[in-house]
Amino acid sequence: MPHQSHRRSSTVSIVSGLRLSGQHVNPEVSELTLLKEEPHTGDHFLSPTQLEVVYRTNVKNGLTENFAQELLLHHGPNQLKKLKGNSYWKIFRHNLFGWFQCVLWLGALLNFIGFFFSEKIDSGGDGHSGKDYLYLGCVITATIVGTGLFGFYQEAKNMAVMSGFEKLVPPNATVIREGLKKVIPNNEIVIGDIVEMSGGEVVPADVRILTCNNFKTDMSSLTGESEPIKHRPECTNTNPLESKNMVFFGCPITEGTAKGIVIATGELTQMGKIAGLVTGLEKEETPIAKEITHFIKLICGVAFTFGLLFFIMVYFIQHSWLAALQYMLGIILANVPEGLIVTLTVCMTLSANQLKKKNCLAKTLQAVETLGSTSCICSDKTGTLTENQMNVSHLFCNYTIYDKSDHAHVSDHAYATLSLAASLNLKATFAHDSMNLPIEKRKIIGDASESAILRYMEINRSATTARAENPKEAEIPFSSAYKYQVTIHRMKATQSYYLIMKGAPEIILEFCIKILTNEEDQPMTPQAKKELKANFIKLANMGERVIGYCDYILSLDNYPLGYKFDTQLRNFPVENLRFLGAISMIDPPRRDIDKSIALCRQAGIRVIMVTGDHPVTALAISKQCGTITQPTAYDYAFEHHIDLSDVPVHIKQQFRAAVITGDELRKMSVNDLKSAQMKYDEITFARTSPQQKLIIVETYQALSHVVAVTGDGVNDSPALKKADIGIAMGITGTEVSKQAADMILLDDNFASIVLGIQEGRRIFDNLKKTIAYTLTSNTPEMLPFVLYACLGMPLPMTLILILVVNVGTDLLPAMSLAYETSEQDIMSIPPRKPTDHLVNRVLIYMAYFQIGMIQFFAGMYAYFVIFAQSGFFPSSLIFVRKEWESPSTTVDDTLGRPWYFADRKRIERKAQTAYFVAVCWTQVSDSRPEHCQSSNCIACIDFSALDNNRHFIASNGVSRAVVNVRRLVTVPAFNLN
Amino acid sequence: MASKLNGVETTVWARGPPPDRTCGETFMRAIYDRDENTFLGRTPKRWAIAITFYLVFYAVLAVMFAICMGGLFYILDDKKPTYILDSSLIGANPGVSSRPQPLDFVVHYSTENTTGHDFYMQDIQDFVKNYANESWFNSKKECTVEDNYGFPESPCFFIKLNKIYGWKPDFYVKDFPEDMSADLVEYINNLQEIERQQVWVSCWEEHSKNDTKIEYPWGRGLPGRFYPYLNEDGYISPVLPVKFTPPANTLAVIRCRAWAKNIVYNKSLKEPSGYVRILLQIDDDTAANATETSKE
Repeated sequence: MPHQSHRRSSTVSIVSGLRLSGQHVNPEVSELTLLKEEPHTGDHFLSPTQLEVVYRTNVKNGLTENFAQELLLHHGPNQLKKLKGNSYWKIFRHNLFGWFQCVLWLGALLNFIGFFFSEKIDSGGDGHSGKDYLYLGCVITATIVGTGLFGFYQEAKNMAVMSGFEKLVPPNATVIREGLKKVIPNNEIVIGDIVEMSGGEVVPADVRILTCNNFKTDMSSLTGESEPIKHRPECTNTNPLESKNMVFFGCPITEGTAKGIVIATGELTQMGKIAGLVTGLEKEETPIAKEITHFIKLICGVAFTFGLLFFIMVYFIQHSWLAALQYMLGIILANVPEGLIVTLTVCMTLSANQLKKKNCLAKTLQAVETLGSTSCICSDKTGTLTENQMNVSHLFCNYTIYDKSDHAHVSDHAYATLSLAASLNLKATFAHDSMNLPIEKRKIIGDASESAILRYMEINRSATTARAENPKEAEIPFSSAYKYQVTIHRMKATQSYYLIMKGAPEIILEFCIKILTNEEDQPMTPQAKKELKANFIKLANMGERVIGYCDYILSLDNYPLGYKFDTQLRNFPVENLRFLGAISMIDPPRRDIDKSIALCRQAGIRVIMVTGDHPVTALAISKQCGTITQPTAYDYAFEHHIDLSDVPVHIKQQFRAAVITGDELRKMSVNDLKSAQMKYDEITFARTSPQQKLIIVETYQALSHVVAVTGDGVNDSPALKKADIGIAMGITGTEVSKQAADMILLDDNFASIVLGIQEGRRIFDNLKKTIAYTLTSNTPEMLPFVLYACLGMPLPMTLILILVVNVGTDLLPAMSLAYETSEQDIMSIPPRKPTDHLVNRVLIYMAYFQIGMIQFFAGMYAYFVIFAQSGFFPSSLIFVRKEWESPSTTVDDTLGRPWYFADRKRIERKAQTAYFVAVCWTQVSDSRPEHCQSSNCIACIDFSALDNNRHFIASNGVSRAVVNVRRLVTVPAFNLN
Repeated sequence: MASKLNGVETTVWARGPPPDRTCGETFMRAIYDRDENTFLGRTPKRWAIAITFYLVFYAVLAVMFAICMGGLFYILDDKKPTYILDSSLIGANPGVSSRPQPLDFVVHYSTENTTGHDFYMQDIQDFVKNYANESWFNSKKECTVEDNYGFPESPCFFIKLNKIYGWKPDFYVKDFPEDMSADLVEYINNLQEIERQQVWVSCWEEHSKNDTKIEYPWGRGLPGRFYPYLNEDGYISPVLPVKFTPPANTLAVIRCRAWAKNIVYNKSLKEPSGYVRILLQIDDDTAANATETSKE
């Protein structure tokens, strides 16, 4: 045993080593890798006597009080660390000192420096007064703080206060210490304690069961298994999570009692490890954050390139370092898009709010865009893709499989008999307090499959009435030893006794000698048996749990009314029965889930199912949901009636879809997993542990996928946290999963994800447009300085006007672009590649050198018109800077009129105004918000089209030139008014 | 089909790690990438396309701009401004100016050092060059090149009105305003009615010490026949020299006001109108002279 556990831990360390290669391995990370390891305790193999030795306890008497206190001091209390979500400070910091914000802060700082600089030296060289710098600095600061607080408010609002793991912890537990039963607070439990547990409670720690009686726990939060596990004291699996003699901290006990020995408490429990994982995991930067970083790099590059060029240019013309530096500062500031951060925040808020209306709550603003760039969705099965409720899916009788909704054969003899038998042979009942509710919503006391049958029969055959009319006389309850359940009823119709047996179909077939059909009973021949069994396998291969029924009409002669049935002595026949049929059940996929998944797949997004459930069930649900559409090795095995391991390798190689189980995963290295993920288009991961889910997500991320994880259980939360975007279910989801997630589907509707993807992609496109729009005004803001410094023309645009454009007139049109509707084919193209940037060279070139130039020319035209109308023809404006800026000289215009300083400053302001108006106006007509969407200049240029070479410019793009002409022509009209 | 749509058939997601390159190599690769045959990120063909595109684009833009400018010039009268007098920014109130223009606010020179006043004489020379062909100008005896424009002891300052297109002065013929100096009123009254169509000029010392001798060698008015200015070829605006003889080594602040009913006088220094302020200091001290030269 030690050997095995050693080997496993070594492979894990290799695996984690591989996974971590290239990262900094600091102590915290290595602690995290420990948490990522699979559970490898050997306690479930040990016998109680061995356990007594290991844990220095006594199975009968428990620990001594003293030793328990000692252990409590040593290991600490049995409780989980509080799961900390994003603290408010973190959100605040993120919103005020993100990358972009830092660049803006730097800009503001430069302004303040410029202010003090120009105050001190006052060379008056660059046409800005010191005050301009001060205003600019103040406005930039105000912008950052304002938008930062706004974003903070938005995100903090969505951070509903949620309790985490602590809710899972039961308040008290029953332990045996010093031979006495005691009820102690749960956090005082120590390793080695002997605990007693019973139905309705929650497992107080990780416990190895010593004795139990019909003990069932719901391990769905750990394993994702939808049904309660029935426990046994024996070891059944090498994997402790699957071994029946282990129960885990936080799992609710559905029924039964058990006594066991505590083997782990607090942080060391499985749940504690998950909690530790969730707390310890750090998310990667969101794609949009990456994009913004990239954008900042680009814009800084552009700003500094232009600034430097300009610096050199001015230096060669004016031979003054100081003037050149000042000009450079002006140029760099002209390039900083002060207003962009406002627009970005508003755009994302708009989308987040839009999604919220569709019951999709984004906890961070950036989450929406992340969803848009998602290329892979790892979805949990239970509760996410399925309803997390067993339902009858097929009925089998008369050698035919009927669908649950197929009601054409209800009156058939066989069908009716089967239904009656199924209605009667039930332990489950409706809870009294929910009887007035519709059947679907009633609470049922009983296990999942009985509940499913009861619900189905109640809806279709009014089971309650049948059961009241035909009371149960005797019962052999289900036992795993003989795997059937027998009830005897007193039938109202015949006034005789009726025996019904239900159980695993292969087992009960052995008790039958006849088969019920619609005509008459047939004898059970080997041929018939084979056929029946084939049908059972068919059902089982659909991932369904099959329950067989057979009956025996007890003749009145032998069993008169009032006959005492003794279940111990079995004074009634349980052989030579008549086979009725079978009912199969499944946790069905949610309604329309297949459509949502088809939409995702159409949008080029892989949908991977990652579940803790059995591979066959997982495969069946995958097929129904549409995550697997191609045959797998399992199908081959089913078809050829062979074992999965017997499928020839060369055939295995051909499949494009696969089901990978947790056990297989455990044997794979990270590279194996990567190659599998690359090889198979469609994968379903079954029987995975929370840690494995995490590894799967990490490997997909390593393959450059942007991974979304949907899930509801505690077992999903590490993956939810690690994913680029974790999506939790609002109704069925546990608090832990909600806290780990970035987005919550308030109505548990998977279709919301599709909407979210659409919204996210739209945001990305619209942000592109917004950024392009905002950047275009940089050229007309920058070039005036070139004219001023190099050609000595009166300055066409001042810093203050730049500011007004950037944070004033540009804002609303830019925001209006956020309302752009999406492109028609937005959901039929693959997700953007990580190399498709928000702002790429194409966009920069277009903004700066094309549209920006148009704006510049329009502005210059307005400027010349104003000057020319006042007598300064363009020729008289060149190389006049020195005279122009000197207050004591006069400047002659083309008509020979000398202009005083005050007068020419007035005309300069008029020309600046004209330039400004022209730029604003061209800017506005770039987006033309008064016309409805998609007819505007920036918007009609489909940037994704540029990237994908689909079509260059959307139909309306052609009108750009026309607009330009009109613009140039109408600008004078503007000025004349 | 499904798999194709799924975007995974091509191994587009499965890219290898970025190749290990040093900083320098990456930089060199940015300039010229041998594998892709790209210079600065574009293949020659792509460069050609891009350059052609921008050439055409800017050509079209330039043509459009040129058409617009052409339209503008077509509309514009190059003789007559679009807006005149009150509708224009320059206004209907001509500014009064003087030549020579001071180097820095004060016309300051010394009698000993010729370089100081040579500069101002040169300024006047440049200014009067335009008047070389005007008989009325050449006929004058004083304040001409012959007498060095009065330099250095009593320099002539040429007072003129800035040209305002279409501006016609409304002369003071009689009913003189109260603030008009008595000597000017007397001077005008001595003239015949017909000769009173002039824009009168009067100069006085601001601090009214009256130490500076002010002479008007050509008379005291700018002849009205020059107005209005309509940007005719060869138009020359009238000038009037005023000769100042300030006491040595003191700063004389002289204000010369032009008088017409439609010349608004605003004595404020911040928004001056209707007058020109001349600051004149002539040094005649050897010590002062020495410091002056060192400053120059």
